[in-house]
Amino acid sequence: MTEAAGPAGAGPAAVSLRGVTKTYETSDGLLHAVQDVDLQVRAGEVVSIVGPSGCGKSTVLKMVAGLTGHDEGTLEVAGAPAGAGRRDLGIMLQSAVLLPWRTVWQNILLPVEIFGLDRGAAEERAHALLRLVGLEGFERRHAWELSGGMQQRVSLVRLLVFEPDILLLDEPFAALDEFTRERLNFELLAIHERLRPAMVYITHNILESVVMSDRVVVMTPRPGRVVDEVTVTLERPRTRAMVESPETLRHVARIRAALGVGSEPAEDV
Amino acid sequence: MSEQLETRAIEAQGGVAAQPRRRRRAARRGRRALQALLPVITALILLSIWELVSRTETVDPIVLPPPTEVAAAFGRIVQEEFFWQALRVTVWEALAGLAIGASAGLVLGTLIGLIDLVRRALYPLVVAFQTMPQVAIAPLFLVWFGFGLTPRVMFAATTCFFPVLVGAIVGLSTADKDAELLLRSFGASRWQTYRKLLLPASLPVVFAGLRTAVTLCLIGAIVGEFVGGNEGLGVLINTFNFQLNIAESFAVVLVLAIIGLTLYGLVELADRKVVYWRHRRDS
Repeated sequence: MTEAAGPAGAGPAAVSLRGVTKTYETSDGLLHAVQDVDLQVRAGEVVSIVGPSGCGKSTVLKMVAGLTGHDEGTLEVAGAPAGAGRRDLGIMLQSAVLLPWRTVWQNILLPVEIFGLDRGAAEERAHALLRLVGLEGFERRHAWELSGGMQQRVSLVRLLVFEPDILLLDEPFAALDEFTRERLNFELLAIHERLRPAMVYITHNILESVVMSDRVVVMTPRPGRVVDEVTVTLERPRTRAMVESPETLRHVARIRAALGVGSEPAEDV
Repeated sequence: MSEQLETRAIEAQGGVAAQPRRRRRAARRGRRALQALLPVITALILLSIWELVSRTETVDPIVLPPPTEVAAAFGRIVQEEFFWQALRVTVWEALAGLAIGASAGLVLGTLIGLIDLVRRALYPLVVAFQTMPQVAIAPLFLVWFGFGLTPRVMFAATTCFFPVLVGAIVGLSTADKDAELLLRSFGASRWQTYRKLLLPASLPVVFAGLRTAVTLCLIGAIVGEFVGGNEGLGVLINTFNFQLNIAESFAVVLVLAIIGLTLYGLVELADRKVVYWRHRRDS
């Protein structure tokens, strides 16, 4: 588990966690939200973290984003300690969080305003990105005029507009229906082929974790820790046919086993 | 609502499916018009009873003049210069009070909502002040601010201060938690977070407070005049009462109702302009 060697060989780690532990104090003593987690993500690599609710996967992401601290271990992003407000890292959440008083266009430019980036260049990128996700012509619409899938596309453009090298995606499409979710996953993969950011993709969907990533990190709760790490041997670019290929299903079976929901009859699901 | 549901239920059963859609739509429109007319009909019935009770002298018409008499009195007073002078005074007191009270509420509410230390130091005191019956301190305002317009303006300001204050405090805590997280991930400063997220997110609640405040400021102005004024609509009501010109008194009350509705309508209009997203989100 600890060797954590990515397929890309040498190169600077985009994200590096060594022995990271985070505890909360509750009324019945210390709760290990995350215990002794090692994780290396190289530049351009896609790593999924899969696990049930409460396994600490979202906490890991928030720590990497600098939104919450950790108690033990070292956590580095592009060779520097994690912290909020970095331009080379962006996070996307399960809800699109589009501000309702802003148009699509104004929502997309929100990070540009806060980072104080050059507006002209950013607007050019925003136009190109909107075209890329098929939302050209929706610039002056408001969130309430868009479907859930369209809202998440806007949210993705808002993330890509400041060109982060590392994307942190916290179950970005989990609230969408299955068809929309699959379509957006493949759109995200197409974007990854073009821009090659490092991605940490959080999901509770095992199949999704395999199809999306180069490596799958499997976490279980109480305490939140890594129980397995699976290198995905599927080729890139990924295709829809791979979703049900035997190779994919083999990876799924291994992850299910690691999570303890393998071939033995389930007691309760 | 329930009628709409019923219509839908009937449609679902295919009960009126044979009817052309246009006719069904017309029927629905007719029902809606009837619903809008209902309060008018109720008002007309109540006014007729009032008229009848007064005309038949079941109640002494000197105490309760009939509505037609009130309407006639209304027609008389609007031709008098002293009425318009009184109206200007009262509206001025109410609006100046609203401006001062709402601004103070907004500023203090923002400070309490944003800064923990201020909240702890001030909020309990403000609540304590609010729970005190404010009419009781109205006479004190005369002592403090003299006999001009100032005591009445200040009293109106005091009455509409609190709802705006609470609106600002509560509003600042309504921002979407994920949006706050997102701004934090961008490294937004406190000012940026306030300006781009907390402030706009608070506006719907602030406007709810303003809507309460706008009715309160008129009450404040009138109570101020009752306690110690020499001009204004409240003074006019008192004068007419002493003269037993009850119809005129009622007419002034009617004017106050019209002013109140107008002010409320203006705030409502501003609400729709400023907080446009709240009214369109569900559509």
